[in-house]
Amino acid sequence: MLLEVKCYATLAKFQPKESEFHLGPKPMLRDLIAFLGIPEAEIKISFANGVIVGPEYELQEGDRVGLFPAVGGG
Amino acid sequence: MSASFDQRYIRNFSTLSEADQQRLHTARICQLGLGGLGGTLLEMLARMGFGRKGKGWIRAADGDVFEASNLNRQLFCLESTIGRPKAEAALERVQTVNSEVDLSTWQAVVGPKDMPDFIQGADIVLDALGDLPTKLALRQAAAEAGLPMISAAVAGWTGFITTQLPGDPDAGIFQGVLGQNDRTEGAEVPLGTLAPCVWLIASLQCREAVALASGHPPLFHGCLHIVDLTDASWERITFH
Repeated sequence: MLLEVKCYATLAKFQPKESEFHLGPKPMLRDLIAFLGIPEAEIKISFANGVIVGPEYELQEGDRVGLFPAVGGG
Repeated sequence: MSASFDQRYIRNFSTLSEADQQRLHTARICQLGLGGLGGTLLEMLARMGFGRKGKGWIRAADGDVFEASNLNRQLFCLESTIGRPKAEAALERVQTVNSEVDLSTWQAVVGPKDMPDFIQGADIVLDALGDLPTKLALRQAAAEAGLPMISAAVAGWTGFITTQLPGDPDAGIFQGVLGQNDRTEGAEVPLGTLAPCVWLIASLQCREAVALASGHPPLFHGCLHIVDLTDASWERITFH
């Protein structure tokens, strides 16, 4: 499955180099997060194609996925 | 030397109409935080002509004093202002930039109990705070007072902005991005905060304040804009 994934700020260390992922049939966002090794609690907002989605979102071929941590600096 | 009205605001026109400019003058702004976001934001509010004496006002608060670690990004932090209250430095700076601005400052930490008093009488609330729990409390106070609030935060090269309007559902973007009763440390703690990103996001807040004050549609309502300067990406994220 081809996905465009972006891990923001402190999650950048989990940024995958690849864009093709083998996550099994009907993978959910949770599967991608586990594959990337990100503790779910570190993600405050996840979105696909510009819309906020939860860990049970069913990934679609070609999705643009963003994972965003808590950010509160001024 | 003071500037005449025509000289001071002439380069705002005609991107701003004269009627828009007048609406900025009559705006009543409450801004919490005079650090990185807050310094740049207040500077721009003053230059744009928000809160003109006799017409509107700006109220800003910060209980901190400047430290050397603020020099990397906080506009009012100078080598000469280290150790001085941020609120005091802000007053002095705005007086030198635009003495027509009716600025008052609270040299105090404005906690959740003080927030209703702090935002009393305002048209717009600006969140330039640097910690998550206080941001959530201000969001709540603004919602209860029926006031719009422009909120933003930064960490490293990443920043976001979102606008809350009166009547927005509680389960808005804030719960997502800031967490609810959540003690999670923000990404700004390990990553720091860099001036180009802070000033860019503060600029977006000022832009939104112009939209709200002049009665034009807000740019950042109902969505979260995430700007990332590691790769010049800009995402507009909606709830549904």
